[in-house]
Amino acid sequence: MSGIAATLQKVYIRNLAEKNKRIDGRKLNQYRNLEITPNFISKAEGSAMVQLGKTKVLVGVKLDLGEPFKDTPDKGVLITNAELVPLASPEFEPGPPDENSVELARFVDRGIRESEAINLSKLVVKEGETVWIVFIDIHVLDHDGNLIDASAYGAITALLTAKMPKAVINEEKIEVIDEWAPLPIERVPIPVTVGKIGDKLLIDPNLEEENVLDAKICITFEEEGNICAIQKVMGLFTEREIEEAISLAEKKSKKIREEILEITKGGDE
Amino acid sequence: MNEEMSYMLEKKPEKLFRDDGKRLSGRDLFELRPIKMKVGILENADGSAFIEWGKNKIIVAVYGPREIHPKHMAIPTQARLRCRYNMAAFSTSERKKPGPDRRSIELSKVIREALVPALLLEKFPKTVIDVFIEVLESEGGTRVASITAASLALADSGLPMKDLVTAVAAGKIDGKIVLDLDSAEDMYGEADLPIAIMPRRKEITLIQMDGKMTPQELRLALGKAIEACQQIYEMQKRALLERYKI
Amino acid sequence: MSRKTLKENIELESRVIVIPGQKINQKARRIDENLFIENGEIYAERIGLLNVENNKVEIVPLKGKYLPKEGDVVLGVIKDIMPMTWVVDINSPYTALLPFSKTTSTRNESEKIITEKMFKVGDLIAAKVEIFKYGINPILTTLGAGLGKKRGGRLVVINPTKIPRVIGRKGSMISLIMKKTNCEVTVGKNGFILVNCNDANKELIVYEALKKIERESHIKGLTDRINTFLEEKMK
Repeated sequence: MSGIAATLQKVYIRNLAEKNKRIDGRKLNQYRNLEITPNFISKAEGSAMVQLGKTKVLVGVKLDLGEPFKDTPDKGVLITNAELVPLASPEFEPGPPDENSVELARFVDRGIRESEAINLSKLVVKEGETVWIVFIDIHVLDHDGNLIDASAYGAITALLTAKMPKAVINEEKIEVIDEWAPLPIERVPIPVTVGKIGDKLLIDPNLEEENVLDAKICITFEEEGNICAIQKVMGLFTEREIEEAISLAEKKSKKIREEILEITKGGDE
Repeated sequence: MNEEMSYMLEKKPEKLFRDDGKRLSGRDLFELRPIKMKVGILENADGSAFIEWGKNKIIVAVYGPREIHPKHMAIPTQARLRCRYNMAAFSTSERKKPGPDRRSIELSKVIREALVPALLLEKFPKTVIDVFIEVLESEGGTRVASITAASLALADSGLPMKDLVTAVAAGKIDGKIVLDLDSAEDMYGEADLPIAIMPRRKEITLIQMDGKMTPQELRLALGKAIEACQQIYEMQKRALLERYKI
Repeated sequence: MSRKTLKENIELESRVIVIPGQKINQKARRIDENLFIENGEIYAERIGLLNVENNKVEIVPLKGKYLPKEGDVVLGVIKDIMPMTWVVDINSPYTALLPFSKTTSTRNESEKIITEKMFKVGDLIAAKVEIFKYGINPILTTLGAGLGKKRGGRLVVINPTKIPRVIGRKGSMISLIMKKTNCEVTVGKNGFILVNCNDANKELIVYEALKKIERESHIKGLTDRINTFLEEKMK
């Protein structure tokens, strides 16, 4: 991967962008091949292996009983965590989550939270005391760019296919019984990442492109077309570029949502 | 039982054998769980392997030999081998808190010690070879599955090796010596004996035990484990050749 | 099919893939560094293609890191500047050094020329490995024809063990690629390849061809397949 550091290669990618071309032959508005395998991990209540080009991310959803937050006694809890393990890239170091993995986890979390994708009110076992905690764990396995989109698609697929056991109150005691239902998922938030090289915008940048980007922004859409999360990850955009990025991302998000719904439908059987 | 293992806890069965004499999983005493191996599954890593062993799913990446940081870690006469065994949060029945704990630090160490004898580290002085192990799903026996897969990833990276390393666990459950313990057997059996060998000369590079066995039982268990390693070694060879299938 | 290609195919068919620790049922007077002898038997030390020729047994590696050899021409990226020395990433476990004295032959060159020869961090250079002993940073030189700073083109990285196949027997593969595509291709022994065609589409085709060689070098009929691939793509 050290070849990426060459200035000549960066200039090459920039010159291509000027001509509306990309290093892997894609069009500026073209996504890489996306493959999602749900139910990859049987120990997890929900899971998905995502392959976006050469990027590979595994997401697992685990459920656990716990206390609700004091200010939301009538709601379940959502916790999202990401690990950029050193297996995935020569650039990743072992150790506690760095700012990139925290940003990744928080942005994925925000899309799910703000779109109210999970109906957290339906995760209450005993109000103010016991609720279901939904853990989304993102495990990056191979980093070839655009980890945010890959992780978010993994997370929503894992949620859509997750099973929740029934918890009942039996003489003051909480019992988990072997009756399973899907998680109450009511929306499918889909982020699309847009990069900027010179004055050109392109979607789904790969790693070589990420190393050259002047700016990067991620925009998450709900099915109704509302935007529910934005993160400018780096660089700067003009107002017009933001508008352009939004319309680019919106179109693509619809297609990707369709793909994910296709993959996850009938997954209950 | 190790405190840190509590998150792997399975429900305790009454007995570990069925009435027909088979184990709860339906296996015979010396029968292994189904094993699948695939070599070369990651793009960035210099070598990689994926192993499914029963419900265990483990992915291993090798990076190196490469420059070592910080520089004072460099050994003037040979490469340093580093190993990191890590469990994904969703790999266990109850979510595991991310990050290293005492168990994973010990496992990283014994796995490294199991692999070192096979490598020719003196060929790459002052460099480092990193072995990163990610347990994606666990069902007992992750260390032996990790070693088996790590040796494939090392071979796949093109590193010079004297031999592969092959590993399996023997153990004792309800008074009987068996091979390849699953979670419940590991947890509620009397003893667990993971071993690793270099198959060509049957040299043992890992042996640990917790629990109780008589010396006679230990001999039987060890012998059976070494026998089973030959079977696993054949699968390793096939997996490596499969990568370069014509 | 040319005679050269035919010969290449026959040789490949006689090869098998061996893995570390595998016994080689051959008696030979000479073995290469990828094999070892124990109790009079030959064993493989690396994964690769076994090649038995005359009295020599060797393994053609399928993967591995670049280890510098004195005399190799490599492509490298300047990654740091130290007093009178450049630090060069040559895609190897050992970072290379390029001393100022190995970049210019005369001491009395005008300042202008010296400045032109100055390399910046990120520059791609072609250089020759002048000195290498294990564990010590290799010393490079840019003195010589075709060496020095490279300008323009697309950098492709492949596994360095596949470079001999990219070059081919007596340069047959690389000249095939250059002839079919009209591109200039500079091959570094370390796995860095610079492709320059003044045409991004062609450069992408060459990139794909190089990646195909990297993936399929052990499968017989490589030259023919690359030929067909290039002919189809260049239509």
